[in-house]
Amino acid sequence: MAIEFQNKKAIFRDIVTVDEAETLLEWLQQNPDAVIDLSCLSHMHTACLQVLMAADPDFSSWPEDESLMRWLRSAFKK
Amino acid sequence: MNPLLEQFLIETRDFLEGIGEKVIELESASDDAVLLNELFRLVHTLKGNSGLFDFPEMTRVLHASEDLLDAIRSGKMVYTREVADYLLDAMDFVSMLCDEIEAEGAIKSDHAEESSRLAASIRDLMKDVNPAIPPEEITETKTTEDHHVIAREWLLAIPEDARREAYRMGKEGSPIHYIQYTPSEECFYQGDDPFYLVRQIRGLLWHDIMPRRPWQKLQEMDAYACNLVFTMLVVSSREEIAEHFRYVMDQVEIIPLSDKDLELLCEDRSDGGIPSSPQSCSSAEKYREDQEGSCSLTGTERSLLADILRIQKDILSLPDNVEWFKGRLKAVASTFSACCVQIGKKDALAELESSLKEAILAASPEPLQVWFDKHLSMFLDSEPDVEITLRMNDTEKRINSLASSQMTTGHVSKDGGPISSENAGSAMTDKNSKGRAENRTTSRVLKVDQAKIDRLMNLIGEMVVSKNALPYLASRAEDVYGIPELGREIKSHYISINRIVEEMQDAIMQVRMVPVAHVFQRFPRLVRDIANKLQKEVELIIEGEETEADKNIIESLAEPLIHIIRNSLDHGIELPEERIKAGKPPKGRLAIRAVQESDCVVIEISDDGRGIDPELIKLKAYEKGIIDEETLECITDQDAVNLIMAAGFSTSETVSDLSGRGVGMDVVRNAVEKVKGNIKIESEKGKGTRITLSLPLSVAVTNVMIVKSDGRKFGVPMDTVVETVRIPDDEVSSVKDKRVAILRDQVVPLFNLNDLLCINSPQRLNEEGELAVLVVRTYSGNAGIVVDEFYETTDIILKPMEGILAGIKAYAGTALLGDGSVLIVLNPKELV
Repeated sequence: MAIEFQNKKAIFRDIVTVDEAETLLEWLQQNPDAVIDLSCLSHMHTACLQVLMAADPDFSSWPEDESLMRWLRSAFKK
Repeated sequence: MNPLLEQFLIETRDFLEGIGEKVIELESASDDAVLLNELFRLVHTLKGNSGLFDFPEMTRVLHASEDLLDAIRSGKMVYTREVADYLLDAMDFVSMLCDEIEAEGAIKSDHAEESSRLAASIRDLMKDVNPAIPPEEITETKTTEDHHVIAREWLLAIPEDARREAYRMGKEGSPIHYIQYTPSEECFYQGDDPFYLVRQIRGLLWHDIMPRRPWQKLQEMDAYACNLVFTMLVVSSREEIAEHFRYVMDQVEIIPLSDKDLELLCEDRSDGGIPSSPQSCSSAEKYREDQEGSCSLTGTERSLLADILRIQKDILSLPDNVEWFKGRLKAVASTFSACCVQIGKKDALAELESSLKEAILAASPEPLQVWFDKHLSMFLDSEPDVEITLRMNDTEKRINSLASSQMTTGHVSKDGGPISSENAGSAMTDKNSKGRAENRTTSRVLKVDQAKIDRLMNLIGEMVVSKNALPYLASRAEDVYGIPELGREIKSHYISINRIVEEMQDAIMQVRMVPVAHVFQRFPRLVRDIANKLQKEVELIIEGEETEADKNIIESLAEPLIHIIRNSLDHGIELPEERIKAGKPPKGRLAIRAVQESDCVVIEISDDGRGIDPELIKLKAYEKGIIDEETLECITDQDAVNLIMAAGFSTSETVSDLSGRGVGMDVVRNAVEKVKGNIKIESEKGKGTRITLSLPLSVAVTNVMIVKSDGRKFGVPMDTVVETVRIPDDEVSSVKDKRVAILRDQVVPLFNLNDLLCINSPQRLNEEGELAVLVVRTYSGNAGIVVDEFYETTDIILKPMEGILAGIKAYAGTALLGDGSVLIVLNPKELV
């Protein structure tokens, strides 16, 4: 799994694939006050992206990849 | 390797297999529209996937194939064998590229030519049909005028710096395009990753991702229905953009922006009164000052203003016991101030500011409410009050829904008062929707790395071994420590652990089971190709594809089966003319059947060809020295047929000499025996041949018999053991220098295990003077191995010999016994 779910925190790593969207959604449904750590992310599938956008969680850190960070910040308006 | 690429390669192989199957199926049902559509879809998706990577050679060939299929699908062409040949060639090429990507990480540049040649030859097939329409022309749908209207609206959302950069680049003559990409809702099911696609675009000035419809509640959201729209401002030519998005062109709008457009837009924005670029900003400022004092709002604007104000008032009346209360007050005040500026009533601003300060200090919305009531008339001017009251209702509703949606997304902490009752309500809905989510039945298939399953297998193997240690422990408790009660208790525990371990083992075995279809699916293509090459007509019948067996066994089956099929087609089935002469239908039949029989998978390959001539085999075997003259005289036809599997029988020379089979049948036999299977050949001259392979369902556990010789324990696989007998030493007779025994009127040669293993000590007799003889099955019939003592049989996890030892054929491997000792397992077939 490219997403590591901790207590209230989800750490995204490397490539988060389409298969993880459902799990992510379920987790976000159960953890509405989740914090997301994207620092080690290199790509996230669109399905996961839209789940995050719908949930609009807090982010503890943005990806190191600058272009990805810009894309995500524009998506989350953060 | 990049995990994305790895995934791509796995998927591509799956796709290629599917495509190959469908191409062949279509040959016999060329008018099956459903099948054709499926084939088209597979090729289309594969092409799309390949486009995500930089493999133009692959994409080019796939693109041509896709166009060809599209032409057939739309009835412009007919599906012929020629078409199938080209498609299969193309897929072989793609498969070869995949191998290369896997090995080298990239495609060698010298394939470009081959790729172009293939693509051109496929397109040649279509030359009678109208040439494919280039993608650029398809996308030109809306009029330029339309585009501009839409673009202007959208461009207002673009931040100033990006727009200024675009303006500058546009002035310099670079092509600027506004792109709106709205992926289809089902795009995830088609393997699209729109975000990946947009991330790869070059010349990006500005981008945004937005939901196209407001988000549903999280509890009701469908993660796999795409609800996003991507907008971008790109410095790039239309062709480049079209090329980038060519697989999703129907979902993309590309709008060119000339620098004139941009200039126009600058003016547009100042009209709108929102501050933008420096030059327009000053003009806007001026404009606003000119207008100051005179409120010139249109009807719609006025009603919007009324809405905004009303909402602010409602916000002020919300419960004030929340931690962000201050922020809320500030937000309301700044909205009021912006409204004042808009209608040109700046004089009320000072008072507003002091009201805000007051409100924050008092932690109460009252001062702001007072200010609002006082200045309400100023905002509304001639606006009829009636309208505002009418609008009240739906505004209220909106506010309420806003509040409750905040609740469900959890932005509100649990305070007291009216909120908590609302909270309880939303918690109820939470529960309900969660119940729905749980009830939804989804088929879940896990793709697991084989290494993980293998690890489980190894672990369960160790578990079996440590489980087996318990009986030893029990007997030690009894014999060594003299506590029989403890021994009994350990034994009863052993029974329950044993049951769980066996179930667990069974469960893991189940995971490893795959259907034989895994191997069978490539046969239609194989048979078709070979038959075509040999100009024979063959009907292939496959049955029992769903029969399951362990993955390793299924995989080890592939090669022997291909060998057998090739032999059948090459040597078994005759040419059509020959068949007609022999009174058979011109089309030969090759049947492959798989069935499960108790703990074996039985695979039967039969043909109605010319069969094997036992006489020829006998002679050949005699010439090769495999059988002696005596055997030549008395060997049965059935045994003679089986001789073709004897090592040394099949050499390249015999292939051309023999009219029957003989190509590498010993290879087949070895492969089958490696997984402890059996092979049987039955053949009738002129009627056909049937080869039956029976294979164990699983290789994980081996049942062995433990024997002792010279004080050492050895294991003998039970599947090779025929029987164990005690033979009185004086009943052993000698033939020349060999010792033999007569068992049920059969002469069985005897070998001392000590001699076979070069252990320098005689075999021991028991008290009655009898020899312990283990009768085993070997290539040349049964043989007796004399040992010192027999012990029990046991299940072990056989580990093959490694390194230099792997070359010693006499040993099948080693295993750990329950008491921790290592058992060497013999391979009697090689030993004798």
